[in-house]
Amino acid sequence: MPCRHTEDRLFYGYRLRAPLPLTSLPPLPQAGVADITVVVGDVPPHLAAPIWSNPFIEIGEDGGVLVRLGDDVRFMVRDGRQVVINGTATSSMGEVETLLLGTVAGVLLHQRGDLLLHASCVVIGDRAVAIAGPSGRGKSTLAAALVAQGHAPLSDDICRVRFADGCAWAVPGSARLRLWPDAARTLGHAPETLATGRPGHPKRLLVPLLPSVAPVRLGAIIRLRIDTRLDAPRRARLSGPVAIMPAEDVLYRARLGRRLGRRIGLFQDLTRLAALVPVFSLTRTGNPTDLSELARLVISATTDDP
Amino acid sequence: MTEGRFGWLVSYPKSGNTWLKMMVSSLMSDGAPVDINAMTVKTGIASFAEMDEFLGIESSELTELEIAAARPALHRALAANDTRPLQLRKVHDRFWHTPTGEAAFTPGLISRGAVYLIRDPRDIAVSYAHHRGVGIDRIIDLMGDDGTVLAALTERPKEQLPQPLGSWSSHARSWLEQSDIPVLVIRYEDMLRDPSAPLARVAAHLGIETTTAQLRAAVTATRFDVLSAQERAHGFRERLTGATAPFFREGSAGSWRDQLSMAQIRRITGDHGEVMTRFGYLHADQLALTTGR
Repeated sequence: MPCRHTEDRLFYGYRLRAPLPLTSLPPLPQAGVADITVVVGDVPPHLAAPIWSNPFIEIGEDGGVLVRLGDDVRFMVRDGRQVVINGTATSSMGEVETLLLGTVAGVLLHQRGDLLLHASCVVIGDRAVAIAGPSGRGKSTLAAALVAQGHAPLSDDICRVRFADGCAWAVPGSARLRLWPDAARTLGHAPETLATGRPGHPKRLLVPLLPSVAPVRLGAIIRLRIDTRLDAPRRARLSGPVAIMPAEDVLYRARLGRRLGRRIGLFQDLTRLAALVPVFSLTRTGNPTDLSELARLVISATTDDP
Repeated sequence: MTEGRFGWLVSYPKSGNTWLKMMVSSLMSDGAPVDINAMTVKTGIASFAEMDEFLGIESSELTELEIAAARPALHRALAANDTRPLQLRKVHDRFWHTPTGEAAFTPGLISRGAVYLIRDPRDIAVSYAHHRGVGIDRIIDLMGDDGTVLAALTERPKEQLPQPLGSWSSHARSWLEQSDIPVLVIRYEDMLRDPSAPLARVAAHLGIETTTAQLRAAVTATRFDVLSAQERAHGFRERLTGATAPFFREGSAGSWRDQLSMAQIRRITGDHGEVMTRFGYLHADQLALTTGR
């Protein structure tokens, strides 16, 4: 339910002020000017003259983006600074939160010119490890397996990376991990005891401890792949162009980013990242029970090959 | 033929579609050898990754209905983002419409044409059971169920989007009885006997210019023994975990005679006799015996 008052939360490194309880984001004491403001208001069902549109997203001439799900859940996202949520959406808080932390976050951060990996991120020792890959590869499941071993979650599905002091830093995002029921079971959870992010959708929510508020130096990027021919998972160090190609497999919504003005910058950022952080491929078998071996290979990537 | 971008290679699963796609891909590369594990061969079935990237949405958070409603938009986006004059898309979906009545496989500029590959459902039952590592009776259930959805959203993540299949008979009818997209029907058994003639018809249907030498080279490059030797040497990415046989298993027709029980044969002909008769898999007198009509 919407609150009358607003709360400040840490949203991918930014101060986000919202009239909603976004409990999977670290809270901040309310102070100063927010980087991103969420308000509830009127959002039109369509933009008047979109320069790009599909059933879920419309981009206006001014760079404003309408994100839409069904008839009621609509977001207007402007300048990487403001999100207006349609009033009728606030009765579907699960859907609002799922979109705000995923697709809408991607739009906001691309508008701000950030580098976003399509990755779930955990902290191993004093380094962050980004597990990257397209949907369906098992990023969240592997991250959840590492969290179950005591490693801290940093963000799920979107990993914002900043460059500072000659290093790449992974910025904390949302800690809620979205798991398919089979993966939840493999990790020892009864799916029926976990909440669903969206009513009628099989994926379950696992909300471990909130992530830390400080960025963590990125120690490795693990590109998750599947090869049903393998008997056991394999890890390999990637170098040269193959480490970051195809960029669409590493970046979060690369095409959308390009439409929002990130035409050259995205690739430059990715090249810079690959020069600073070792990139590995980690290839799963078709067997979902290889999770502990995958987790071991992720952990050893940060220690065997510094 | 229109200047549509997509050539849909359509079939019920385990009907030789992967083979046909390799054959046409080879033909489009002047009959070049095919690497069965190359991504160009594997891609084609609409995936979550494509929907994420081309529509910008978190597609794994969508319901089956929402995904279905967005499939035409995905096809439009895919067509708009590819400059190749002809893209082959492998399809297992039946021909279906969104809840608002839009055809999932959009006619006009999107679709150049479809090739419908049909195979004796008794052989499919045997092949599909090996492919999925389940019993033949379970497969016969699926093949008779109008509500069957391939890669349905259930318990585990998938790479492919949910694809409405329907029963084997309704699948065939849905493509053959629609008039939005020009369809060429090819029988798998005819491809087995002599691939050259059916391949030439496919090329003509999709507007691929060919020479006899290219056709011959494509057929040679994708002979069953060539593909199955590659699978033996390097494995095949499309083979499912838990499959009980190689993906390129026999490459033959009629093995159902040794592998199905009389009861299983009766169930299949009872469910699908009409369409089987239409495509020469059953004679009218056999159909009468089966159904009592």
